[in-house]
Amino acid sequence: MEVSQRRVLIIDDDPRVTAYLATLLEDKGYVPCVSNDAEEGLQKVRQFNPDVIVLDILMPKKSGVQLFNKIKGDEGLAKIPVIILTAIKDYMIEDFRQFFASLRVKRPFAYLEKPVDPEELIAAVERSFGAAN
Amino acid sequence: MALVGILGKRDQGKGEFGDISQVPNEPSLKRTDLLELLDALPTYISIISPQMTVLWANSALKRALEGGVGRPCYEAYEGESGPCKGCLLERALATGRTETWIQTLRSPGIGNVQTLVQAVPLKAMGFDIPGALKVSTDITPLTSRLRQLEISQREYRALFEGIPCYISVQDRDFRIIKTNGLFRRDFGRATGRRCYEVYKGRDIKCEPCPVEKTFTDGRIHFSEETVRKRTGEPMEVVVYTAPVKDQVGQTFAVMEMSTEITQVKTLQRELASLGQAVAITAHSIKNLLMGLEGGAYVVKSALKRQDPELAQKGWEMIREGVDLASNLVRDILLISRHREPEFSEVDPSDLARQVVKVFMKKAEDLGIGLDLETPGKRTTLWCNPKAIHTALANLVANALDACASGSTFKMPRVILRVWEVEQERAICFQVQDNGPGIPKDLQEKLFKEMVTTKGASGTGLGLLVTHKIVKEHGGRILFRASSGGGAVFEVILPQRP
Repeated sequence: MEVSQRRVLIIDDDPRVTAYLATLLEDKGYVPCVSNDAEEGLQKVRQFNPDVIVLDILMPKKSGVQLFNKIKGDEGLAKIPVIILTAIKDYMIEDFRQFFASLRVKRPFAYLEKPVDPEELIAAVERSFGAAN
Repeated sequence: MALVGILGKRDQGKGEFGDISQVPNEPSLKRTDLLELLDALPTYISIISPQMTVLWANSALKRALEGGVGRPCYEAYEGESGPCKGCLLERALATGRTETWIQTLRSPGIGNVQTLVQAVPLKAMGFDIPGALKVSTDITPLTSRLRQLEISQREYRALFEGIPCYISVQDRDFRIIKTNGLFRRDFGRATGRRCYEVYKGRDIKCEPCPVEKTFTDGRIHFSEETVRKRTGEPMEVVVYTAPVKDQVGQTFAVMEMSTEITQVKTLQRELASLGQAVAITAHSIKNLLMGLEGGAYVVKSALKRQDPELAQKGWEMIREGVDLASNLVRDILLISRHREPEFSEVDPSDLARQVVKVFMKKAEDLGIGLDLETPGKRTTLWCNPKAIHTALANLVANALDACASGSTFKMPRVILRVWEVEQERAICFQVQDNGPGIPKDLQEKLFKEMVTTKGASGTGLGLLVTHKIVKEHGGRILFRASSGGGAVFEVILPQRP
């Protein structure tokens, strides 16, 4: 699969974050799509059919965890790798890792702490393609 | 008089003591045996004449008094120069009955000896001889033990009464049988009443009950409870219950010892809330940084792409990030600073009008109706106008954000109302929106913790700042859900503090 064809869906309630990551991914040759709302995010997952999803964990209304569970609970979407994005403190990421490990659904592909290091994000996105293939 | 002398007279069958050859009921006991027996006893024994002269003393007494025979009784025993007032020996002789009393025997060699004295008229013993037998038993060890016991009891009472804990002792029916000083000060006289009634104002026993546990297993138990003083003031306490056992090890009562920890608990809660505040602030700062970094990246990328529209977007991101950062810093400073507000007299309607003016453009951009309702007449409010402006601006900004996040009505609307509460001589500012409202779990935390419904764009500091300003003005802030959905905040400020 060509890099140019790879599609990345970014779901975060903060429009500044989605604008930033979309520009970054576009610059690197990916096709980004953004959503600033968890509910709309689920529709976008179905419409846009991304190769990887970058998902914020703390969002108002529906939380990122709920959306993650929906994606992983849907047979058609479960195989899409999800990179979890969060501004919570690094030591709490371990708690999240354990929480997801305790769930029966599939686990997130990676966890990245905000503010995200652009190189780390690109590396994680790249790795996710390898994992999906 | 020497024993031999008495024996000699006794042998003659007459003399000062008369005939004592026949000891009643003990015909086999000779007089010599009797006196030898008295002489050998470890108690102090003497025979005193009706004139109070010591006629005979046994060895123990002679050793203690270093003699004494032939001297007046009061002088030999007590070193007194005249007869004792109300002499009981004299009374024994007069009545013919045994008298008992406590006397301090002053021995040149041993010192003072506490004795229990019995004076028995010889006639009462069946001898036809005037005088009395005086038997003094050393009770010094007993009296010193009694004194020690008294001291211990006094110390125990002082300790029990003065200990800075609440102590009550309960029986198996949970009735209080004993309390200490601090307990009585804060809970009143409770003896005879049930512990659950006194400590908690309950009609039935608490569940679980630490006193009951100790009665069941005879062990010490521990719990944290909230009790109420007799003034009605609540108090958080840590409680230890310990068994009070009888000689055979059966628990017949339970001692309940409580220490107040209200301040510790308050501090604990404040620290927890501080910890949470720090975590939320850190979260806000991280989001801010990400926004700023993102803005910078987008501008850089736009310049490379020569895309002015994208550059504008990046620039907006930076500007927004800077605004958020300065608001965050301002809020943190407002929360942490303790300063006397600068007061002046203003028309509250003017204040409200200024706030609405500030937000009018934002409301229009978001397609939200922003209305102001003020009283027809001019009123006054003594306040710090800048602070009240900040407080109202926070509430209006929250209301607009709430409407923007999805109103349940076709026409999203925020109303700022001002009116005079005449009976209270106060001014009420009301901010009502028809947004989605505040979830129940967050409602309880409002004004106490950093609460936000805005995800990454909210810090949760705004309401805390508003609350602080209102409190500084001696006012109050209320929240209720609006009847048709949405939220209503009311700030009520006294017109003059």
